[in-house]
Amino acid sequence: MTTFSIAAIDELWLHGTLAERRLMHGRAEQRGDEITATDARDEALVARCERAMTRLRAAMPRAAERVRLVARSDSEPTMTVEIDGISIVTSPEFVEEDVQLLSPSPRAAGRGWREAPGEGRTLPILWHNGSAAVLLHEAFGHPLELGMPPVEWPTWLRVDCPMAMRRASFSDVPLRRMTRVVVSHENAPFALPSPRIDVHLVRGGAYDPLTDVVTVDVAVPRFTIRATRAEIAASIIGALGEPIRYPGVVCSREGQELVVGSYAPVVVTRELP
Amino acid sequence: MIYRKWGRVVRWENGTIVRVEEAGEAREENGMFVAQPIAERKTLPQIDVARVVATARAIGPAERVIVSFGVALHECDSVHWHEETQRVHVALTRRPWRVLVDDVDLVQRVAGALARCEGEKDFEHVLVPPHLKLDADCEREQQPGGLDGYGRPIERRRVEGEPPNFYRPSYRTRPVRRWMNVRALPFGTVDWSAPRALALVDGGKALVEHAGRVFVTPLRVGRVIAAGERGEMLL
Repeated sequence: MTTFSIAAIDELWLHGTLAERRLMHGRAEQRGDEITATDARDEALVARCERAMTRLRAAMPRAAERVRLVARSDSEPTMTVEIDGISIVTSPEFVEEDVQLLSPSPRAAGRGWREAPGEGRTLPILWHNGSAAVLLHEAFGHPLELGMPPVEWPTWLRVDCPMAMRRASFSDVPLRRMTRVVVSHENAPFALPSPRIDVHLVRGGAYDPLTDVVTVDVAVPRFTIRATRAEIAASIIGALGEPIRYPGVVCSREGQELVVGSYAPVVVTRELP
Repeated sequence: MIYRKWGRVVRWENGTIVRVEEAGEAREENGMFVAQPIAERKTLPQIDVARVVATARAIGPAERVIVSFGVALHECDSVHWHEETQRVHVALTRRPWRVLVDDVDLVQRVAGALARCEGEKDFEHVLVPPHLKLDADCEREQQPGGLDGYGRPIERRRVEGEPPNFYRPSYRTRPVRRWMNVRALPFGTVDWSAPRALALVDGGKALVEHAGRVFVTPLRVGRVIAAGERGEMLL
């Protein structure tokens, strides 16, 4: 038999005012393919979450229009900060630095660089701020979780993507999930393409095992990529520098939302559909 | 306002049986929503685990099979009510299509039809039965029945303006206004010989049967031609 206990507190703040607060706790016992779960309370786990929530509250940017604070007993505290409809996922340690990515200047810098898919030519893409980790999260990580057959990636590309059985709450079935995605490279210089699209922030993504299609919704500038894994693998033509922490991958599978640490160097891809 | 819920669920999720028992409350005061578990327990009916398993196993191979039987007691201020649910979510696949079925009695028929599917074909009209829920662009009505997330009765209303009822999927979720039990109001002349939708397909499509043949066709939910007395829609 295996057991799993958890506590979690999440709070939603709107323009500096507490709008919602939830406490969740419970315990699951698993024997083979059967799980018995109740909302049993472990005081030590709840106290750990309360302490983490105090840290989160102290660090949160109170002027932001929407901030979600999440303190879980099984992982580091996180906060999702949304300004003008664009969000990042960060921590008390990095929030001050990461919120700068939501300021108008880097967002404006990327605007207008791409035409809508199918309506004209596309351009090479330069993935800044570690955002290429999201591309690889979808195109490399999810297929690995699901045991899909591999595709051919550039020989210089390294993707460290450890797996673990993870679950969002005591009443969920644990699934084989990524714990982090760290993209790195070995000597992959590239000529800076021009013109190009400079990607600064990503809104979300998906991988469909049925069609092998990866979708990435880029937030800054706003456009969507839809391509097969093989097309994405073939499009990656260079990388520069050390992996950069990307602020924001809350991954949802089977309705279970989990944070996945994400790091990537600056990466360049050829035109994608 | 205080809402409390005591619930028990047995769920089959892709081969794993999950038994969950929990209770919680949600308070709404001055615009703030606070939810937490409660220690108080109430006697709840047992759930027949064997029936959950038998239901799931009868579905056969699928990309996703979730069968969930639940019982719940709700209390919202002075209103108390009891609820029993039996839900099924099945995703059947045949590359490149993913077909979604929420009615256990239809799974075998849809699976058989999917196996016979000849390909994609763009039909001019499609007849959509009322159990396939579409956010179609036509006059619609909320049907009476049951209580909403605050224990208020769901009454017959034309779908226009702000929904009078609230949807509360869990005690942890702030209720949101939503139309419930919605169906199209009858209008126009329904062509009963049009290809009939059997199930929804990922990507805004439907699996349809026509003259004994099966195809996948796009659904044009923004173009409702007619609606029947039981909520059937001709797109």
